[in-house]
Amino acid sequence: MNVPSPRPLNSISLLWDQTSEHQTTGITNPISSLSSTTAVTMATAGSFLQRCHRALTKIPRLTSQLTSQPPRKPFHPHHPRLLTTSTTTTTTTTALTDLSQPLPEVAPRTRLTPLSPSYYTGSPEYYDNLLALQDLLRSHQALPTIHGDDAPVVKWKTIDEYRLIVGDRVKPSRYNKVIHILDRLNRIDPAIMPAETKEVLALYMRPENQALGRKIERTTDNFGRAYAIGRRKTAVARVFLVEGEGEALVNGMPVNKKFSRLHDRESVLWPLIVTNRVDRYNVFAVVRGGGLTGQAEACTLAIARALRIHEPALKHALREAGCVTVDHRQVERKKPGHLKARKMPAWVKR
Amino acid sequence: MVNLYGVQIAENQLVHKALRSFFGIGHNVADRICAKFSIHKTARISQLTQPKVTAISSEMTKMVIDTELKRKIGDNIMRLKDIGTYRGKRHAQGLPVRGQKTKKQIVSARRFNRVSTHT
Amino acid sequence: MVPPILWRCLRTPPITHPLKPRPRLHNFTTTPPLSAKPLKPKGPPPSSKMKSGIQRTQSNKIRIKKEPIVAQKPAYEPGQRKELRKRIVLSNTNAIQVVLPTMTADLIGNEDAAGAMFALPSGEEDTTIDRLRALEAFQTKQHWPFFHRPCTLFRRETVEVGRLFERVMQRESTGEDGWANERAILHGYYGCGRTILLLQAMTWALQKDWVVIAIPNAQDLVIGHTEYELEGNSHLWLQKAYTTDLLNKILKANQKTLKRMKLSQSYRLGRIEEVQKGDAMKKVLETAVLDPLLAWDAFNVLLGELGLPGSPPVLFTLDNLNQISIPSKYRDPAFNVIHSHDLALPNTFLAYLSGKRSFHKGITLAATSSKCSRTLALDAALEGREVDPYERLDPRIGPSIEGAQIIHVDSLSKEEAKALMDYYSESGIMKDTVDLTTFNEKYAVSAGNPRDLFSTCLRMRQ
Repeated sequence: MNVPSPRPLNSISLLWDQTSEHQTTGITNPISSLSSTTAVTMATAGSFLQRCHRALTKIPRLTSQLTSQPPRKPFHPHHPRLLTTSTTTTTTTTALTDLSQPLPEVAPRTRLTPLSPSYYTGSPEYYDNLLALQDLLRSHQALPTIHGDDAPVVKWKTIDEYRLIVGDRVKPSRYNKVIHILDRLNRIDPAIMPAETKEVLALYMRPENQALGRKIERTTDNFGRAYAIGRRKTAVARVFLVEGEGEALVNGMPVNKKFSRLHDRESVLWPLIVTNRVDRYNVFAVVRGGGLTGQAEACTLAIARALRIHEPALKHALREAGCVTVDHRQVERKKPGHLKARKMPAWVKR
Repeated sequence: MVNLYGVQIAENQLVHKALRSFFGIGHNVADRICAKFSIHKTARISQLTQPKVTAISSEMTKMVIDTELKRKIGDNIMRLKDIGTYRGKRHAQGLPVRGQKTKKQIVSARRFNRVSTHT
Repeated sequence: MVPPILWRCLRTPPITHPLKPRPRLHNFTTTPPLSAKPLKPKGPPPSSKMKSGIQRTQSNKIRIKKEPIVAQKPAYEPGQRKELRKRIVLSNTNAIQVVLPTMTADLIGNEDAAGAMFALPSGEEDTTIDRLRALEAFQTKQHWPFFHRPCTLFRRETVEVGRLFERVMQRESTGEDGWANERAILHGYYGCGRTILLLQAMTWALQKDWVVIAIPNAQDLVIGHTEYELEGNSHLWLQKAYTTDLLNKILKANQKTLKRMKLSQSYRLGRIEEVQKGDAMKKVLETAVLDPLLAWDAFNVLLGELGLPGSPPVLFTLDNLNQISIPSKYRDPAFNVIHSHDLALPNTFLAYLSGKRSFHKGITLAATSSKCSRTLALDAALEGREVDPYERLDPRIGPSIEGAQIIHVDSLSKEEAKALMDYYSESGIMKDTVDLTTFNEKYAVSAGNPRDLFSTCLRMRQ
């Protein structure tokens, strides 16, 4: 069946597996052979790290060396992007660095199949990466996890840094998928986290930066006051929380004078109400800017934060009550040509 | 019915409102007439004593209101017309008097700017 | 040639019974007219509800039939809506009855009672509530219709008010002949319960057979809704219609006391009426109530008699003091705004409040209001603050309340709030059970303000 092919192959073709199965013509048809080659590729791919986190190892990126090839050319069976295992990489580099040499002869009547099963997805590097992470997650799915708040604080690589790993075709939404999996992996109980996972996660972490990673430990001051700031809309609330009998002063006024709306008052004291701490703390708040609702909800956030300084264990309860999350929404600006932010003037024919 | 300045007015009518029904008496003048005779805001015609009604009527005779006022305004316009002013001419033509455009929207002018409107 | 199917259209209508209505014939139809239902006899529709409007007649013209104008009965009679609005419901039989002690005069100045709920005296013989109603001591929007019977909270401020009574009664009991006058202003933030304190004071006064004179809302005096006229001698503006009303209220509330009160001398009411020495005060008022022209004189006679030794003690109250600290809506003949203090009734009250006039024994009690435009002059006077000459505040306001004790009505203490909340709970208003958590939450949200406490208790959490 193997008939020698008269067609010479360029250097890039080296990256294809050369198989002789189902080969009927001299023209390569990778699509037809993809399904059959997948198993082979997976088998030959080596370990997980080698397969998917290649770029993070010491081996330099190949694309940077491929100066002769425009990096963003559309995929074509005959101009595939580099997809390789670490073993083939070395051979490729040697082959690339010496372009003048005659290309090694390929076995006749063989058919090229892509190494990666994601080859035809458009961004195979990314999908290889994602699939690998999903595999990893699936294998550790049953491990006990801890609450997200208790998980070790990790700063993952930014999208730009991640693009350097898997090529620049990564959209933010795809990046978020990866981060989501990484976050989930990070929540595996640290006591029993497999070493493999730890290694993998380390690959996606940002390099240690003291200034970045340092978390300011907030404590109460000499007078037992916890100080925190909360913002909502355009209001900024500064709150001092001390242990006391449950008095609340906002801008020097009791809450009922400051906020005539009952709902606003409830908003202000909400962190204390849900944690049943109303009669244990005194609130002194100074709130500036914004309207009454904004001021009330800025107080909510500030009080919740101050309360966490006193009692860090309340974080879950406060989060359940919606006091921890910052509502960062602001009024959308008015645009020229619009009556408001989005509203357009009524359309008239003449 | 009470006779106020020669007009029969329903008893349950507010005094203030009854006064305003006369041409030439608006809110302000009505307020002043009421104040002059110490009539409160919600007083009704039926609550007025007869001397007070008479006093109000006589007060109103001193004022230039109603037909007298209308005649006065008409006279003024006639005077403008007689001495041949532009304003008089415009009144006679039923056109805007005070320099407004006449391309459109002169309904009010047509309706009101007549020599004989107020007579 | 006419097709056979349309022959019928050319035929003359068949002869029908003369009494039966003839079926209407249309110009063109394929339906046999005789098979149609007989038309309804013409004439006015049996009921006005029958559809009127566009009707197509035989001549194919559209005739719009006008609906006859029927004089409809108005949904409300004149004044009925106002009456509904102002009606005060003091009892709700659906509410759960709570057994509470009665607010008797023994409790005056009793500090131990502070922080407990008391029911207003009611019973077969007791007419206190009716008399309070006559005095308009109850107001709408005080949530009375939620409860089985009117009950009030005995507060620290109630003790303060009780002290006023105590001081007057002390003089009375020692038999001193000196004048005993107490003057006080209840002042506080909105919804803090000033009017209720007035109500409690009136309850006590009525129980102790004092003469109670109450101006339930000073706003009525200044918004220009009641007659006014100048009195030549005093240069004050009399409001005779309102005074008649007031006398009526006084008469209804103090029948017994006024009956016992005898005139010390003869007076002349108006131009003709005369009352003789030894007549009952009740008779004077009864005469005056019938004729507004006598009202002011009768009121003066009453006040004058109450200033004489041997007269019964008096409680003179006025709610919404702020209203008479802003310019009135009245105008004098020269169209100048009449100062509220130039109106005779407010002037008289303020004379008692500032101590210019005095009863033989009595309490003058005013309450401020939060439902009023800003009264900076009064605020300054109540705070006792030095007035900046550049502030241009009304110089007459300060002296008008000079010397009056200012009772600050504060928010509820925790004990008081607890008592009130328990009462709400027992009356079946609250959905939640009153435990410490609920109490803390509701107390914190309302900040101890009684009005807000009620709304927080009534409101269900979303």
